[in-house]
Amino acid sequence: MIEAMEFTNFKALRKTTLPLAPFTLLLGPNGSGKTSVLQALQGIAALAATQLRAEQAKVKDLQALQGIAALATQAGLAATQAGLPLHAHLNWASCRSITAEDRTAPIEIKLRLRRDEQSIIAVFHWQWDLAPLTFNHANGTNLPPGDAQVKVLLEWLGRMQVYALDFSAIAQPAQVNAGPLQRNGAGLAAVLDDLKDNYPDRWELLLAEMRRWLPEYDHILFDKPQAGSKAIVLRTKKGGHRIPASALSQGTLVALALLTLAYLPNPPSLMGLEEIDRGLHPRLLRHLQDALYRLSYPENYGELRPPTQVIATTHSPYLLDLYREHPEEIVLAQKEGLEVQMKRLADIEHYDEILGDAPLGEVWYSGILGGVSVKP
Amino acid sequence: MKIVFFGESPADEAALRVFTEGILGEPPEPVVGMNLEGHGVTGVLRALSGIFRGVYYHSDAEGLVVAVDGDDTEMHDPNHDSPAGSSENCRLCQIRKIIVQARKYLTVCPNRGELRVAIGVAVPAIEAWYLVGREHQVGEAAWRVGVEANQRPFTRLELKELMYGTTRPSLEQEKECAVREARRLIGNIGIIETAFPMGFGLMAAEIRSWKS
Repeated sequence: MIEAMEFTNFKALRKTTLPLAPFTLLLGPNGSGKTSVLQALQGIAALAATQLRAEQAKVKDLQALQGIAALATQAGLAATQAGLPLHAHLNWASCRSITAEDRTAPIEIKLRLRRDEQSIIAVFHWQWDLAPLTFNHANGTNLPPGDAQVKVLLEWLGRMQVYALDFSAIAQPAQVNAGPLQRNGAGLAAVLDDLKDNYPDRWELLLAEMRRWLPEYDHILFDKPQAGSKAIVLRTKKGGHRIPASALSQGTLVALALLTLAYLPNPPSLMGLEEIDRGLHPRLLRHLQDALYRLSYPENYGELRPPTQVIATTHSPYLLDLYREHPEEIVLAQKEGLEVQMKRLADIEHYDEILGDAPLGEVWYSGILGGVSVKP
Repeated sequence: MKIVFFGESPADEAALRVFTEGILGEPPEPVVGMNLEGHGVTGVLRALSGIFRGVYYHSDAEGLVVAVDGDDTEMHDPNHDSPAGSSENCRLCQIRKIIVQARKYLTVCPNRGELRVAIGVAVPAIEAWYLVGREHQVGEAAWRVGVEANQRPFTRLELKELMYGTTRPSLEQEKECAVREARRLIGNIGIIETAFPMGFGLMAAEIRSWKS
């Protein structure tokens, strides 16, 4: 997992360290860099997938392959065929901090990775061109390219995926075997169809959970709008009416996509989830918390797969209230002038004493803990 | 003097700052890092213990001024000040109780003086304070008589209409009106203490005591 990310000159994150846990909920005012964190992860995932492919092909000079971006696109397509996420590539040139004193200063992102009790630093560096990720031990010694451990780390990083779910994309029919769920939720019908056919136990668990989240429905069915494509239909518990995805509410579609992510047999190594509570009724948030913990702590839910690290962003004090007992999982982004600081609740001095018996969401909203917009 | 303000909205907090300036005779000093904002009366009451402790631990503020609307709760009465007289349905008593509890568990910090607290409760809403001197029927006496006769002299919406000319003022409009009326009133702060002896008068007396 990634224990921390250190940003230099990346968009609003001019000099910022983000501490991370197996599950991290990131809160902060608009423009405090929450989305930038997820963009950086997506960009690094794309680069890692590309780099891994280049290493597998024994290509030493990445730049020689007509630019790394072109290769990355191929890698993305190959990844899709292999059941890995399709990565959108980041235009790093546009991500350099506009407010940096030195406008030519490089972007640097360091990922502090923990694997098998070892701490390894992955370094991303961009000045004018993309350079491969490099890996160092905590003591500074370099891991050479081609090292078996590097391959494992590249594979893990390449399997990170960021989601910004869009109800209209979720509702679209999908080609059967279309691959994993896309960033915007497109392809959900195919993912669910695959679960039903190939993972019947998971499918039944998902259906049972769906009935708790959306009690007015009792089944997920499929239409075939065209040969080779599937479309989602939910069946009402009362009357057995078939409601096509196009007629479902935005919140229902987003809830279904989030629920599906929690029951994937091979989820990404890390999931970034943008505005996790958007469109959801506050009473669904407790279920959402369970779904996210299922990803991060699979052993607690009887899952045998490796944990998926989750980084979710939100503005919801209701969701925050649910994490009162785990201040190590909450990070508040705070803007101070042009600088952004990211601090775990658990690291706030006197946190327990300040909170006392007060509701966390209300106390956060009040601003006493930081992570709120500054008054004009 | 460094003072933190916490009310139901940024407009209330802006007015409290002006009232405090009038009571102390000088503007309160800003407190670094205290970017507070309340969220309705329930939000204030629920967050208040955390706010009090946070201001204590994370700032060098000497005072905290809190004000909320009384709505339809029981008005404060001098009888509530006796050891057994506190009322569960009185917002002033509720807030005092929250502060007493929060204070009880503070860890003493070296070089940190006491954090004093002044509490205001406006009946039925803070707009009634702003209308002192402009609308003769605002004041605790009229409110008490109205409540006893089950004929309240005005509703919250009527107060808003009187104050802002609309029942749906924007936050900026609220803030502008609140500051303007507070500035008008600090020229003769006694008039509002007379009209609201419990809800405003006790708060003003507490703030005034901080000067010495």
